[in-house]
Amino acid sequence: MTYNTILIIACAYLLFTFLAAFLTQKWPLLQRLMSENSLVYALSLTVYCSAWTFYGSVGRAATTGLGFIGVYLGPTLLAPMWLFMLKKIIRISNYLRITSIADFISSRYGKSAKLGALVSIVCIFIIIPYISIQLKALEFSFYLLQDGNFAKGTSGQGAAFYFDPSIVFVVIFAAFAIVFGTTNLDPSEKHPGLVNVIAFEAIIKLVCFLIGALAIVYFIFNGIGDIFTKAQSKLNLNALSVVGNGSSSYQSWVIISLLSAMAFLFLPRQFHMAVVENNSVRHIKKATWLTPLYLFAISLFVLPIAFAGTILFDASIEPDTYLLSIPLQQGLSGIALVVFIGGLAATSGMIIVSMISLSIMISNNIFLPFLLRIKKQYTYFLSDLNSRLMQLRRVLIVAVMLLSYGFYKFFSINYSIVSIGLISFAGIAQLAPAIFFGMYWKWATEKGAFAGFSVGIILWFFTMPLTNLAELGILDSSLLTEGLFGLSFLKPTALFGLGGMDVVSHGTFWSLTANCFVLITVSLNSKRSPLEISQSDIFLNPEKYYKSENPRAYVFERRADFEELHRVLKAILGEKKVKEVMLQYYGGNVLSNFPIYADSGFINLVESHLSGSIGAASAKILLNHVVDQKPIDPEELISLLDETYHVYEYSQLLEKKSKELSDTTQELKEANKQLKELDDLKNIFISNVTHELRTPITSIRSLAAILGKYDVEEEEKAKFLKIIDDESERVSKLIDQVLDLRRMEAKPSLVKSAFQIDELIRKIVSGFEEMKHQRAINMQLEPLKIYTDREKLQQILINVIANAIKFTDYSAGKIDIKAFASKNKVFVEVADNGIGIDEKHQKKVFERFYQVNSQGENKHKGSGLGLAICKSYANAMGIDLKLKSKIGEGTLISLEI
Amino acid sequence: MNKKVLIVDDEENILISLSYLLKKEGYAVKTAANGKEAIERFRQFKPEVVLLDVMMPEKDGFSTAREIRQMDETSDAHIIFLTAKGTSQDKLKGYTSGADDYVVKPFDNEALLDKIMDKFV
Repeated sequence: MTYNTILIIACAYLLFTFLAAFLTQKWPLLQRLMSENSLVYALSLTVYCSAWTFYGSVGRAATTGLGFIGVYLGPTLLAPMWLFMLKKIIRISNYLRITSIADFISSRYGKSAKLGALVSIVCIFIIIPYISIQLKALEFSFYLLQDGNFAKGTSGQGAAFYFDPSIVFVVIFAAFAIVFGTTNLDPSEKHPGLVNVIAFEAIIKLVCFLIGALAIVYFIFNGIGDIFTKAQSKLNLNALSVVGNGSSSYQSWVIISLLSAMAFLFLPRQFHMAVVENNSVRHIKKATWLTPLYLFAISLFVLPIAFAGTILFDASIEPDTYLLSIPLQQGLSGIALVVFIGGLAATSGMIIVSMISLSIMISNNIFLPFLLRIKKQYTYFLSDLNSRLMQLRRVLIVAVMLLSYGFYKFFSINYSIVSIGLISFAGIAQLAPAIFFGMYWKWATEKGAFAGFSVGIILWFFTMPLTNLAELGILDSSLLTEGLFGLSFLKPTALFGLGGMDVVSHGTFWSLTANCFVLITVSLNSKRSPLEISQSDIFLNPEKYYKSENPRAYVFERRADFEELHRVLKAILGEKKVKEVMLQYYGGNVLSNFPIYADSGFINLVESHLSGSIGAASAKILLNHVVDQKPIDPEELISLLDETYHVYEYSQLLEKKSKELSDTTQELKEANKQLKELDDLKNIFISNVTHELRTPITSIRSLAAILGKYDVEEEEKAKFLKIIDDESERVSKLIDQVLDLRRMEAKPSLVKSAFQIDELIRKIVSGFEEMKHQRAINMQLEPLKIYTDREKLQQILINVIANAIKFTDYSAGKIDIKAFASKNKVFVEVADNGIGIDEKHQKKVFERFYQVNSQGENKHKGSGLGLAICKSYANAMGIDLKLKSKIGEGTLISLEI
Repeated sequence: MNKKVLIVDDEENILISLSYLLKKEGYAVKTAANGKEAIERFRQFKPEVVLLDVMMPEKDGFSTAREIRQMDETSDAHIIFLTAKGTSQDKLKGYTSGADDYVVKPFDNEALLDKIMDKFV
């Protein structure tokens, strides 16, 4: 492929992402859809996967086998902890409008400008080599593709400056970062267009990698097994596919995992994506499994590719290039191009986000705090801070880009991607003690954090970058053999005699241990300033703050001339935003009638808005010019904060109690409603029972009086006496039923026996001979023997059949009774073609006292107890009593015995 | 000519005892087992007194009474409710639907006869 073809394709790809970012940012609906999507968030975190992942992992796998995987294992193991740790960081950062990792640390330690600047400077030194190595990978892959010559060290050397593809990419990346990273200053550093591009590139990266990997594994070779078999003859597979052997010792594995876990959150670009660009803490949940899954997918084929490379090539081919050089060697230049695009996506994402986060960090934590201290600069900046800040950031982006390019051209030709990457990781890990102690240990002080970080970084520099320089011969190599100043305990690879470890493990061990130790010791021997106390309170208990309105209002007593403050604000936030903030705090008539002084609450609100634009330290310095602060005694402050904490706890408790209370009220209401319903049913029941009692007694009484008063003929007399007898019977039956109701309260006791179900049914039906009139009762009964309580079953069936008769027409009624066995169970079904029961009543018919229609118009005799008693018997006997019905068509009751 | 009484009740046994009683006392008696039948009988028989049960299937006593009252030619018939429901609300409902009197079941035969006699005094 020619130089121009590749460059045009690469530029076309970058232009495409450029447009995609632009469109999603311009189209509000799409932008909202994307920014509210947790998938976009999870994918944007994979900006972690840079050229390191794309080329470096394969290279590392070729030399250390499974050793490469620690870089993915670390973040994966830590992922479940994001749910509370990352959540806490995001909550703090949202509340304080944190703009970068340096801002985060500076804010915790009393908005320390010093600490913020130190962290920022160190980040520059760590990230610039890291970016430069990405450029190296990009350029290398470019030349490989161009001349197809994959032999080591011959590509692209000595090309004229203006033919250097890196410079083209550098310009494009910088332009991208400027357009999407320095356009808005308000209210916090969120760049939806950028996030969308990164998420999009995440997909491109994965797809391209997998296409390359699948082509190698399944097209060039015959699957993973084939590669492993062939590799066996060429290298010591066992050493490479187990952990803890030779060059990938357990200890280095653990250290690399640890470093990666920290780097995943604290690298400036990772912090930017995970915290600053986060739109909702709810998005974390998906990221905790999706991001590790992504890491798994992209590292799945690394080992087979590395083996494939070792089978095909000798040592003259750089293992970092295998993913490209294997397809090229096999003549698959299309696949190689796809891989190249994937690598471009990985590189561009990493570089652009790194540049943006670095430019924010450098401007807010190095330049502004410095410039704002100088009266002249302060007024200059104030005249139009927003656009000047943006200009500054653009200059910074270009500067970072040039520095990285320069670094690459002058130094990093000889480094492998992974070695530079790991050194960067170890450097970034030095931030971890200040962050973790800051979030979980309230006694950590600015002095402690500063000292710990400084010592950690010095040791890191001494044991890692310096060692590397000496190894490469840039520094005198006697440093390695004899130690600093010829003192053997100051050997950079075996500090204080601790030898036998690899460079990264050794350096990480010493630097992090010393970092923590110094931080703790110095913190215990220094006092926190009032501002540190109040800030650490926010970091330890963010939930106390972001939930309530403005609890900090009364911690510091501050006062400012309103006119002057207003002038400052207008310059930075712009007229519109200032009005908004003022209305938010003071309400309606503030615009026409300025207060003379701004109070603490307003100043706090203003400060938090300013912090979102220029960082906490800068905002503090800026406000110091116009705000008077009443000095506060640290003791008093601590007790004040304790008090606010108690208030917070108390209000949480109150909230909980009041929720419980309202729950209880709701339960009581429910219970009361049920009681009322039950009461209504009881009233209806009593009224029904009364009616049912009075009716027979009426006949009895009236007939008895007749018999006493008149001389009744014999035939009539016999008839009357029969009625009296029948009606008395009816009364006593009713009384029995009412008594059954009482018995229902207790569990009925069962008297079981074996009997023929068909015989029982026939007997019951014969009892209905008189009552059924012209109704047709059909029986289909299998002769089945069952073992249960005969009395109770009889009672259930009588009730059910009586109901069937009662609710069917006396001439056209048709009742089908079936008894059959199925699945080891006996079923009895009673179906009728009567009036049916409508759906809303179906569930209730088994309730006590319930009658579908108790109104006179549709009155059917009964106490409303029959089915309730049946159900309670059925339950006691283990019979499943079910009802199916359709209004107007009939009812089917089935018993499963 | 005998004084005519229509007895309406869904309980057969009550119809038996009341018709026997009233016949013995010299009334002409017809019976009906529900509201619909009652209205039909009423048109043909034109009784002076109607003994009307309240709780009946299909059409209850109250609506039967209202319908009877709407028939012009019989507006002077005496309607006595016989009911097993004895609450004052029921009584009120009975009177508003056009009843002249109200007897709660079980009743004393003589008291009922007295109430029927009232119509003819």
